[in-house]
Amino acid sequence: MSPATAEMMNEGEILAGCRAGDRQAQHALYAATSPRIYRLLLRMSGNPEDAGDLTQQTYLQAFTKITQFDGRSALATWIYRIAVTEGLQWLRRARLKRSAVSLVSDTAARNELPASDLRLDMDAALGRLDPEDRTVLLLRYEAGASYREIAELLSCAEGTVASRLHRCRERLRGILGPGYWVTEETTGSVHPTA
Amino acid sequence: MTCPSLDILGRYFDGELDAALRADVEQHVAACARCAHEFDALRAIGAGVASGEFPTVPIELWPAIQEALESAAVGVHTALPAAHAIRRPRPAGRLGPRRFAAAAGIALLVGLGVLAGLWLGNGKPASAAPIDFSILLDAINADADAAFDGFLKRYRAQRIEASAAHAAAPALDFEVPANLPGGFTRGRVYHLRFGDADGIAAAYHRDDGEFMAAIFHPPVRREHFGTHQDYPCAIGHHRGHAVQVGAWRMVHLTDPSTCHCVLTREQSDGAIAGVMQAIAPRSTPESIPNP
Repeated sequence: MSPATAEMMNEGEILAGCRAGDRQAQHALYAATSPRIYRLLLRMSGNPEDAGDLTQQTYLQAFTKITQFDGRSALATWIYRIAVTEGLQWLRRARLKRSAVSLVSDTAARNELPASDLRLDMDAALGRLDPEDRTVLLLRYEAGASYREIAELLSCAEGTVASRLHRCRERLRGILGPGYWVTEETTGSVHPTA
Repeated sequence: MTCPSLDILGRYFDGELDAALRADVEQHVAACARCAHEFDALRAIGAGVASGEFPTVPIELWPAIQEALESAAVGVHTALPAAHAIRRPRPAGRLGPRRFAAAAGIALLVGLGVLAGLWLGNGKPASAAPIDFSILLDAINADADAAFDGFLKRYRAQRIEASAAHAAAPALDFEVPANLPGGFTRGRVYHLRFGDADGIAAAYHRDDGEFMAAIFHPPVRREHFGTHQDYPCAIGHHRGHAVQVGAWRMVHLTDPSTCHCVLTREQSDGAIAGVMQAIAPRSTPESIPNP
């Protein structure tokens, strides 16, 4: 395949090329999907080095297992799922490492901000959540996973997902501050159950 | 219905309530300003998490993946190849002798062995980060100007006057003449940053709209060309290397201080030699080692 045609490949051609081990097809798939995959893994892990390693693992998994892709989803979605799995495995390893060295959780410290730091962008705010909380939010709102799917991925009950999401959203709201979403008409209004 | 709890409102926002309760909450939110406000907050959080800028994917990633794939012949076998260490750029001036040897090995991979050997043999530390030309080459066939703009953006280009180019990149030896052979007229000139090192780029256009670009950077340990193949070539009396992408060719002429790159659709080696002579007038054949 000539370099000139690599950018113009459709998904079917990319898939066929990847199944045949064609490097240009693999690069075309990587070029089309890696920004989203890398962003997800950077947000999940919270550091560029781990995100790079996880992205690499994701594509090695994808290119190795490409023959198992059954076409029931878009190829990009399939790779995204592999990335989520890689990210979750990293999360478990990180959790084990933390408990093995008896580190005191700094979650609370991360979730409390000085009052002056009221406005943060979303990535900075996500970075202040602990990795597990961040992952639940990413799975729901970036990956679009249902409660049932998240529960399966995290091996917990759907009710746990719901309550955890609620807690994470509240933490995120606390970090972002009231200016993040408030419109002039609703300023000053407080929900009775808040 | 009284105001639902924030937990219920969250489930409603997430589409996870059963139909009966969903209808009740929907009706209530439509009539209650406070719950509508809460719903707006949920929507802002959800949209904020879902969106956001895409960070730049490190350019070292694809070569590392490719290397792992090549060593395991993925696509033929089913075993997962071992991940390869990602070569992360190191700060300038911190390369010890062993690292110089490693850097020379990497340079050999991209066909720059002899040139890099000379450069490293001088004992000068690597001063520029790897350069990702795939940004430019991947998009060049679709829209050359847009591809060039993307490359400029990646390397934090600042527009400068042509007369200020030498002062902006004092370590480089190059020229950006007002005209180039083939009827090309100089357009904008830019100062670029390749890691800690300075670079220069100049856009040229012909009356018929044909585009040509000249890019100057310090010799680097690694240039990335994506999947586009880099091959050795001789331009005039000089030896360099080039990448062909469809009708476009990117020719590099490297000497110990400067890599002079020309992106053009001109295919005649003779015509490109004239351009090279104009932008690299002091880069004599004697300064370039034979491979």
